[in-house]
Amino acid sequence: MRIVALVLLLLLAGCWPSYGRVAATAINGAVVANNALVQALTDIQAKAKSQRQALMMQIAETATSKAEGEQQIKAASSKYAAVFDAFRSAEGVQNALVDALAVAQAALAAGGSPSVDRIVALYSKLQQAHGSVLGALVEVR
Amino acid sequence: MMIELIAPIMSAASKAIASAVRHASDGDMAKARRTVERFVAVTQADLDRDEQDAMAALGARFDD
Repeated sequence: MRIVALVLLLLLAGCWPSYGRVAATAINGAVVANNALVQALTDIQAKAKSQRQALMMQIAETATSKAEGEQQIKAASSKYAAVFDAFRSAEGVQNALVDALAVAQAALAAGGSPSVDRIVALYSKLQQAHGSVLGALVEVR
Repeated sequence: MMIELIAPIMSAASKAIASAVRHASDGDMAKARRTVERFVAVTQADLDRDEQDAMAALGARFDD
């Protein structure tokens, strides 16, 4: 039903009347949406890595003993483990989406009309993975 | 207008894709035909290196 809604929307948006053209528009739209989410994930990951690094260096510079510093650095590292697990999970989902988009684009290039169902489902999973990353980041703050 | 009419039956993913189509420039759509970006997660080795750097900085303060 949701796929039908997407196709209907694209038809109404002026992509009348060929399904192939609608599929091409939806797939290109999915690529644009994918690329925006990849950029967002990349930016968030760089910030998270930088924050983790800064926290550990701050501990190294302010700890009152070596043993205490080592313990706190290990704790800081563990605190961020779930965040980077979430990024790795997002990477797995996103790789599957890239593969599905490549297959769909190849089908379009060959004159076919690929289904957008799998792409929408994988993009939905990627949105969830992005949400998980943000949730894990909230936990460390 | 149209998206509001059918939005209740669309998934978040469908909405995001439809929104991307509506807001993408011709250049974005043309680029989409050529380039699918890939997300690369930071490796555990990278994270371990940051931890080792911090340990080294800590050691430099106390190992004299």
